[in-house]
Amino acid sequence: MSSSAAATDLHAPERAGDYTSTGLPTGRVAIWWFLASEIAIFGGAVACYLLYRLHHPEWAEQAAHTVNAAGAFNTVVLLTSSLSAVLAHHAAEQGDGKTAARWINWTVLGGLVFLGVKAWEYAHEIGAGLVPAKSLFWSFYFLLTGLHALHVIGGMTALYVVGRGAARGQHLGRVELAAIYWHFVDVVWIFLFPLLYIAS
Amino acid sequence: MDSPTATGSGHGAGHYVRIWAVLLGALVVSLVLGAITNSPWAIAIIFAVATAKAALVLAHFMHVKLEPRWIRLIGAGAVAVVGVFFIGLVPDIVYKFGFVPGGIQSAQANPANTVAKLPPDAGRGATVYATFCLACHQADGRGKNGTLAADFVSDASRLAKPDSELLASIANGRQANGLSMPPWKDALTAQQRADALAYIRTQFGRKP
Repeated sequence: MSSSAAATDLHAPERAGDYTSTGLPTGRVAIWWFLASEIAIFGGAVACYLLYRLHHPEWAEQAAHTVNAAGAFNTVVLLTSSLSAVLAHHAAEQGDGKTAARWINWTVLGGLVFLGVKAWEYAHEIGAGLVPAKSLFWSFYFLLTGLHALHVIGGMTALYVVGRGAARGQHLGRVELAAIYWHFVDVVWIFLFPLLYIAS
Repeated sequence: MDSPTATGSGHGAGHYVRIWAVLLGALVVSLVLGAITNSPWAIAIIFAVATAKAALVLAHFMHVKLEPRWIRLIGAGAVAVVGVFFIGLVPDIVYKFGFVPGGIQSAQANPANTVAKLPPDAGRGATVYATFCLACHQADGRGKNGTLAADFVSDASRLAKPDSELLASIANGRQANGLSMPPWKDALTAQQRADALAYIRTQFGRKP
């Protein structure tokens, strides 16, 4: 009996360690702590950019070289991928793993489109000599968008893994966690877009 | 709701689509504003719209409002840390080197970045010189006897030139005698360039 109890424990870790003493699911507490650290990372980088931007009003001239249309298109893509992420969460809440997985696939596709457009922008800018060493503005541009792109890749990976499980009806609670992370990546872009593109 | 981690948001799919539509509408407002004007009030509105969009995503997609208060405090704490970091550095970075009062507004009035707003100040210029000029011109202003950069001290003809000519050299760069000085008009403001020249004249110029 004791061996079968141990086997049950191994197969149901979600039940055993699922809740903190606060009554919240452990995963959700963890994702919010994680996002708090992300706020410090992106917030710190954006704060530095803002400080230098305020000191150098003439950067507006350089910001005019970012491709507004590409940034706007990518904003639409990310906002839409957030919609499919929340719809995946909605389906998972109702225990419908297959629908959740389908919405997650749309979100991952959105991430791929976003990265494709971003890659085109990078190629376009680097081709025009607008490299990180060109000026402090371009250093910040590549730092902020590059860090964000890494987060897009990370979010897509997490969503893909969670989506595969959801398609089999497993770990539906994780859909919400991956979606929360994806929305955060979306929120970061909501601020990066005006900071680096529109305000020029 | 048998899922143990469900937030029980209670919204239908239509609700999320409506929020998404509002987000796209807000994006259009920002784009139109950014296209027609870059006045400070427009930029303020664009960032207010971005904040509102972020708030919508947080409230309706991330369901922050359904989380207990202490979860929200974790996020608010991180934002507060970033705020303290930013405010603490404003005097050091934004106002360093004789920041031109008026910020973005004055940059628009001065798009070519060719006019210094304040009288040149050798004190501020010392910092500019130390940061941007010293590597080549050296602390003694001799530029390694003129091998690395112009020698202000031994070659009296250098600083005998009028301010306008020297400021043009600083702004646009200069190629002479096998030496190459980069243009500084993008890296330094007109104010910083004028301050640097004031410092160079005070420090290395012949006293009249």
